[in-house]
Amino acid sequence: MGRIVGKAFVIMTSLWSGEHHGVLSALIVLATALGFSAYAAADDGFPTRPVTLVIPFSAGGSHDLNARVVTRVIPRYLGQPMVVRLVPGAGGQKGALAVAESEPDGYTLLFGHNLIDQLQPHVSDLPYDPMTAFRTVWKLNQATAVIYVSAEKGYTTLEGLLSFGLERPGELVFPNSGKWGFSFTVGAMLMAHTGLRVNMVPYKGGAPVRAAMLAGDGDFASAPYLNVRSIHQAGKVRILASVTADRLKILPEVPSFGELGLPHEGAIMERIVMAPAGTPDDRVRVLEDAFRKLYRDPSFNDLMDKMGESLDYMAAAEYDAIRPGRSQAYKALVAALLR
Amino acid sequence: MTAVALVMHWQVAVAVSIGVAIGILVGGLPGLTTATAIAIVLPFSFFVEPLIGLPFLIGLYKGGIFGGSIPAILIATPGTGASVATILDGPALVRKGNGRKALEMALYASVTGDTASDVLTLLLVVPFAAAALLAGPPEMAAILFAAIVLTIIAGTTSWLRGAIMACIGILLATVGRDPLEFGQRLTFGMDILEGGIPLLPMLIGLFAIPELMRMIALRKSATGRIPPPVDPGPGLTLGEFKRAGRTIARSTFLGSIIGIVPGMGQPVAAFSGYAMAKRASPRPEEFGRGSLEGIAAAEAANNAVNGPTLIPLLTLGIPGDKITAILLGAFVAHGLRPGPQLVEQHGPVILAILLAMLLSNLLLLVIARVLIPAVARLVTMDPNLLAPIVLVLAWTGVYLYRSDSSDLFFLALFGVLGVLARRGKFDLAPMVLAFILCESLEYSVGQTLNLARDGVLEYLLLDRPGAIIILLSVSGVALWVGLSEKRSLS
Amino acid sequence: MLNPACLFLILVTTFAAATLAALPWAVDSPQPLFGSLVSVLSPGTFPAAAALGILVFSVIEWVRRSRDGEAEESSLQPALERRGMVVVILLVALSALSFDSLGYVLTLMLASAALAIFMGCRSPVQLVIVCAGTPTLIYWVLTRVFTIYLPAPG
Repeated sequence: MGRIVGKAFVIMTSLWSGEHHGVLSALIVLATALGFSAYAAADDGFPTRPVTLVIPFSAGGSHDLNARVVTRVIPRYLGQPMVVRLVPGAGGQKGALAVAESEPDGYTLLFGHNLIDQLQPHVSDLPYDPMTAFRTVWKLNQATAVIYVSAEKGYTTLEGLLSFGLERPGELVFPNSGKWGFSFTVGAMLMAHTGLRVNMVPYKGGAPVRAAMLAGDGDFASAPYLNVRSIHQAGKVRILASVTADRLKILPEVPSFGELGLPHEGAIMERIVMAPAGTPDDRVRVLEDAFRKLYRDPSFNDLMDKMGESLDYMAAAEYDAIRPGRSQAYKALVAALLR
Repeated sequence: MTAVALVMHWQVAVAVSIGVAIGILVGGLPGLTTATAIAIVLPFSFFVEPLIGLPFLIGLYKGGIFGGSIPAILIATPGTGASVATILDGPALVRKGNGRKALEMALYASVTGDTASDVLTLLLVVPFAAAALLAGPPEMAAILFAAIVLTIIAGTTSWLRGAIMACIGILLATVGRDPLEFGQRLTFGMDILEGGIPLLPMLIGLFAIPELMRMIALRKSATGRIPPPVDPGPGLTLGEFKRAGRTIARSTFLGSIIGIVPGMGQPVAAFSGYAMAKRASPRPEEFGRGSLEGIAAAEAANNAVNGPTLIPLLTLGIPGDKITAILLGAFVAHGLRPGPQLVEQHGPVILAILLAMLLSNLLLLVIARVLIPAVARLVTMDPNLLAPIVLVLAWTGVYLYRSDSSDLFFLALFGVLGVLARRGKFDLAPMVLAFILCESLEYSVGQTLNLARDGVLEYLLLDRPGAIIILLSVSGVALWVGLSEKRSLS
Repeated sequence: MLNPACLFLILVTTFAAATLAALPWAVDSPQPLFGSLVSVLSPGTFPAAAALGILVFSVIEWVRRSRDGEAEESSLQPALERRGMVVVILLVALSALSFDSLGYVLTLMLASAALAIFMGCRSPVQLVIVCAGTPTLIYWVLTRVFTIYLPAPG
């Protein structure tokens, strides 16, 4: 189809411009162009050309940064470059859709997170069903959250904050990084469980939330500890609790949601690399192996360590096994929230 | 001072120079945003020590910002929203045979504005950091609104037309998903609109297509001859630069203030600087028709944002825009976790980085100065061949924006709109700025209303007087301008 | 002969009015959380305000024009320019269709060659160097050096 179109407009414009010599020139160009494009893809082993990693967020986010480190080192083990393609929009749906609709040949992968995969289907009308559209290649790492308050406000314990808030519904300000993002979900879970009602002011990402908290525009917020570590160590914020089952090793004096009897299942952001569902098993295995070797690479470990990112990975089959259960759990959560 | 010693290694200078050179190249290709380039280059910088890697990135950043002015001036093709303010006068200067002057003014104004604001940043780190936190949602909303109003009243036509264009910009920006709730809005079920109207294809359509049309009108097969070559013209004279001095100072001041507030951005600075320069100029009618002062105003403001923008990043770990967000990643990867302790723990390194910024300005000046005569000569190429190259660059820019070939349809749509608006004498600047700022404006207004809960007016008056002050001053100016316009008409 | 300013105003007012009318259907209503809405600002507010603004300002502008009169306005494009516009639009549309199937390099080679020929360039040497060379060069720099994705044929 494309070729016909191509020929059509070249001939058309040369005729339009009214001189026949143009047709000859045009055909020469066409011939050059077609000749150039005649490269056949060799079929003796996957991958034989670069693999595209679609990131459904905009430049500069944590996915982008993680991906840059991965794509820097993984070609050693994959044998081909891995190219990042940013397709931001609609909370990640645009990029996810692009991958869902792409050829399941292993050359197009999605680098998203669990909330896009397991939570979004229950809150938005998606043009794809993540469970049937994608299969896992590798889970890169994850992040859990803590609840923090500005040091200038008087809250010293989570219980104190909660009881204060329960008495005044809608008054506490909870800045979050956007609807159904990681911090919003944590807040929503807390609200559903305790009956707390807060004023959820949206911000564009975790950094503006931190700014708002420091400026006194928020009462409490949720974020991965790594993101607030520097302001915590500087004494500008207080960590009231960690949204995990047990206490964090780096914060032994901070109580966990688990011991406080608060919900923490699902309060996690897992970064996952996925492929379209129809991708053949052997190709997925090749990709998985490349990641496995990547994770043993010393320079990769060093770089990720410098970024402060965790490396608790999960292999393809393992993660695929837990996805449906997680999705159901999020579905129940959402049903409870959207009454 | 150890910081100076750290920076004065020849390797740093080499790293910065390479960064600047690549940055100019990257910025010169429309659609290849500096953010993308920095993100790509980032991992390479990890393998060298921070005092080489970071200055390299800074050089790339600075080079990129200047690089974006080149296609804006020479072929009216914007690389980013901020370059649009330069397009208002750049191509006109090229047509008048002053292309080289335009490029040099852009360079000198950029470097001056950047250096001045870097020095200010060095001296005022602490107060800047405190100021960064002062602007919450209500102040943001007020400033953004003020910027749009300023651009309306600084237009070449009546403010009414400017207001119409601004409203069009806002309406177009609302198509897609609403920023607060992510619900679909005005998409009528069409997939192509689901992500909203793409900015760069729109800009390239509005500005580059009419320019392409102009070249087409001069084509050989129509007029029967090759059009006379456009002379790149003489270089900028010291006198011309001096005359723009006050404008550059004003723009630098404006840009620095805007730079302190995370998330404000270069377009606001560029357009506001331009608008204020026009208001203050003894020759306002030149603006929009090839005014060197206009270029100086936009470029100085644009670049003055860079230095202060690093402050919230370094002291609080809060990036001001996409590029600084990536730089944040670079800092982190080199073991420098920005935050309140960064200055205490790694003071000399921070100082060294700020000095590297000054160094990169210097090197940018040197490198670009050498490149400009060659680059300016490019437009003297036969338009019959220049036009296809512009086509290639424009189409590429459109595609690179979000890897979507259907964005070419937007190129066509806005090409027609651009031609029509131009012929009907409707200014594009208010529409473009309103379009760019609408999302932030709506977001800030939404946040403000949430924060205010019940009484918006009370909240603003009692808790956020700053916002009220800004709104009142801008309304005052607008009213005064509107009345004086009316008086001059009757 | 309709002058461009009028044409623009009419186009714009029609668009605004249509949007205003369609607004209730065209905007997704936000989901409530725990029975109340999260955002105070409704998604329909900004578009409605903008559309209203267009209508109001356009009417005032129209009144002002008919009262003050406007200096000579050129009519809409001489014939030659119209042809140029059609060619550009056509090239854009065709490029959009063939980008993904033919790939970046081919599409741009053909489009730029078509434009060059339309402009009157006849020399095959120039055509190959400029129209074949430029997209190829950009393609290699972007995909190999910068590892940015550009569509390839197929």
